Amino acid sequence: MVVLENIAVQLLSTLFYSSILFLIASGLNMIYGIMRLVNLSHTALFSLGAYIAAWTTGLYVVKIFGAMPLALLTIPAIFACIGVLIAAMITSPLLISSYNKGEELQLILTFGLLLVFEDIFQLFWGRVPLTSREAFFSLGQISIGSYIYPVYNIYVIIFTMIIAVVMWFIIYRTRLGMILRAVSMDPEMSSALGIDLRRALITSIAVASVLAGLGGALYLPAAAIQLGFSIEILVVAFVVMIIGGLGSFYGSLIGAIITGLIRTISLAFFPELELALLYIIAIAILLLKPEGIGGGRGW
Amino acid sequence: MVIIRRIGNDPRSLYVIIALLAILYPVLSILRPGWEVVLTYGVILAIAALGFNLLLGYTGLLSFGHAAFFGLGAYVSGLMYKYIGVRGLEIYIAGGVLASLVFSLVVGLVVVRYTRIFFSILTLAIAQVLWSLYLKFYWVTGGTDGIKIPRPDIVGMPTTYMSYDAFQAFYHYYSLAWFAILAYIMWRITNSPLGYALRAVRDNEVRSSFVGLSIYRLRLYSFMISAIYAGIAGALYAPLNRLVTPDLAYWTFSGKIVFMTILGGFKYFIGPIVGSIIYSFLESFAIGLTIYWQLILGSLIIAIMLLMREGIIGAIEKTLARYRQYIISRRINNKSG
Amino acid sequence: MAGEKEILSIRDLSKHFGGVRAVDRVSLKIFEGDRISIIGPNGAGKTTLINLISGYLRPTRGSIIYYGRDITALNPIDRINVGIVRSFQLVNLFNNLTVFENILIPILSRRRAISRFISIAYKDREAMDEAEETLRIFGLSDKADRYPTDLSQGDRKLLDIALTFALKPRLIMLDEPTSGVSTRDKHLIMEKIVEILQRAGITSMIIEHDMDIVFKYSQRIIVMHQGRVIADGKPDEIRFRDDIKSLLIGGIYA
Repeated sequence: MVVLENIAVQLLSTLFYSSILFLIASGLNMIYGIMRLVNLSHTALFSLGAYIAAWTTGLYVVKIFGAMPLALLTIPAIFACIGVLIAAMITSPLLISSYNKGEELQLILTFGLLLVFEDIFQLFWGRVPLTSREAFFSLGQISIGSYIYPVYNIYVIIFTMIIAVVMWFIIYRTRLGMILRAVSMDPEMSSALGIDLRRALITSIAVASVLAGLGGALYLPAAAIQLGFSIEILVVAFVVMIIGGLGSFYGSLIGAIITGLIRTISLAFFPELELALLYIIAIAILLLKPEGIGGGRGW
Repeated sequence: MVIIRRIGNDPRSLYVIIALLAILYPVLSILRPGWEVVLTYGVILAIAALGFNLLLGYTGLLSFGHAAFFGLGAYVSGLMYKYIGVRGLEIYIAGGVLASLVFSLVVGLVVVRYTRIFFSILTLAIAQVLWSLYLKFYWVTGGTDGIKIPRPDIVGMPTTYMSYDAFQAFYHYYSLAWFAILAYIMWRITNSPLGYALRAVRDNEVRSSFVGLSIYRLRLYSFMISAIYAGIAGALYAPLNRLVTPDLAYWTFSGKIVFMTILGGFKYFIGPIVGSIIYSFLESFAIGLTIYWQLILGSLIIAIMLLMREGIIGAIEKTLARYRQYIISRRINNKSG
Repeated sequence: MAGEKEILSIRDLSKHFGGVRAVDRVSLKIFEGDRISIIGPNGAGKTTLINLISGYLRPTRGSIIYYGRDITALNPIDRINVGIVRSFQLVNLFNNLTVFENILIPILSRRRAISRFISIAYKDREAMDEAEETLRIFGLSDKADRYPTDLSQGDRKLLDIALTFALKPRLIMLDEPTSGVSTRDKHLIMEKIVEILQRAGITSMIIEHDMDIVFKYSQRIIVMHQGRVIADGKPDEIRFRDDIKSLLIGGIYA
């Protein structure tokens, strides 16, 4: 029985990690799929979301609302989304200007953006890791057999699942989604058919950024945010994209789950090699099925 | 048969630069004492950047993980001293070459099959893996404390007896000598059949394969050569810095190499060299000013990519071209006037 | 053709794409020095045949024997190395290299200058001389320092063909070498090609739609239709066959 409980807990942890990865990777995939743009600064928005959430929680929410779960869970997240959206809109001209201008340019440009973000984080929030323990404990814990597991993680998993369903609905069942898919398949043709390319690009940047910021806000209570996290999670996010397939929505899901599983397994058996194992699997996928497991640009 | 060369790709520019690097050292030690060592660091970084640009400028592959090889060269030197007591600088360099050769071969065999974004991320990932290993296996590498290296033996001679200034000067000219040799070799490479083939592959992959070029093998050679250059630079860097730490393999260091190269202009042979020297001074200056140098660096990268994509050398060449036009049109006006 | 050396033997070659028989049981013998034009309506399988011979497609059935050696399984790059070279319909050049550098690339490739380690250390004077000579033959010497984007359409085509010839093939296959070029330039280009083919003794198979060019410059014509070879002979033999004429006219304008 203990084994079953153990597996249940590991599974939950995996799903939690995968949820966060999904939020990041789906945004990255969206931007890559629609704009053919590789945005190395995307994870900086994740960090920004986490920082804003921490800030809001520490400065206002706790003081005004105490340990009230509703406030702790919603208000920082809302502020995070708004803040990230503003940042994304400010930087969107840069991203759009590099559209179709070659990958070297995009990579170097967004890399510079990443550096700028990292130092802005340092400027505003310093080098000390921040977290939001109040939010984490506000939902309490449940017992799984002899284990105690935080309800917060479960909340994140469920919340992300809802987001995934909503996203799926928007992409595959609404006009907006159809437009985005058209642009990702054939930008020129779409433009010729009257789709406002610029608007589509900006929309995708906005949506992707909010997802990332939300991811940061959700991740914060369960862990901590500090400098350098953007790059650590960036590489993992790309592994997710490689495993799932670049630019693919389903790929984000599949890639996130598989990556989460790999991480859980490697943490259990070879902790030092966690990172290395991830890369080995990514390389293996590249060698065996370069389009990824989720398929090509299947938007 | 004249192939027109501009400043950026003219060997004479290289001679001028080497001469300048030799003369500037004493000049700096008088005018701005303490800053002449920045020049030496610049020379060493220029070696890494030269190698890096073979990959970027000539082969069209953007590696975000070149710090891996630089760090490898540095750590091999440190470990050789720590565990075997080796003090010869030439042996450190040989170690750096060997380690980079082997590692780049193993990594390259896989990584070079993929282009563009895959390649960039894979190289970044490899560098991060190495970095994490340097950090985690602290009982070997000293972790964040790193490995301390004393003054090395240069050409067999111990240097511990030298005064501070004398050692620094000696090290500078020694590094400059290595730089000159390596720059010459790189010049030969870029003008050799291999260099032309790399340019062809970068320009038109499809046509290259239809003309019989093995794209994979060419990229692998380029990758390995650029790695070896970075490894040598790392080995030269370690004894000068006296300390080898994991941040030499961290992604920000790779970012610096990328920045130096585009700052100078990655389309030109001397671009990375000029970029490295200028960057070294920029960084020392900025670090002296503020701890937020990443902000400055990042902003500069963005600014350059938007406004001055050809880098400093590109900007110089454009200005010269306009000047030439101006002179020519003046001459024409004078003749008709 | 009789008494000459047989360099290529295609036996029962077929290529099926699903239900479509792009090339259907083709058997041919090609002799050294042949100057062949492959003609036929669109979709007859001409380009597919060339793709099979040059190695860019694997046959569904059949074999290809080249100088007595079965090369059916050989990959395209190795076929280039044994002398089977092809060009493409669309001009595809190294736009960021000068004309001289463009010609240099295939020469260096052919001379295996690149795979030898020593290649990083020397300049290969011979290759550069050969490049100059090739440019001279094709009449492009005065444009050596220009970039392909600065050349006229005819010159770009010429350069493209020159790149193919620079690989010193024994069997060259050209896919519509005069397409997209003005009528006057067409003949100039063909004259040049034939001159080089004869001088170097290269065997050639050229896909061509312009009948004037076909009948003027070929020494042997192969007519394809629906994946099969329906005629194979000297120009005079083909010229007076009404069934071929109506097929071609119908095929071209249909």
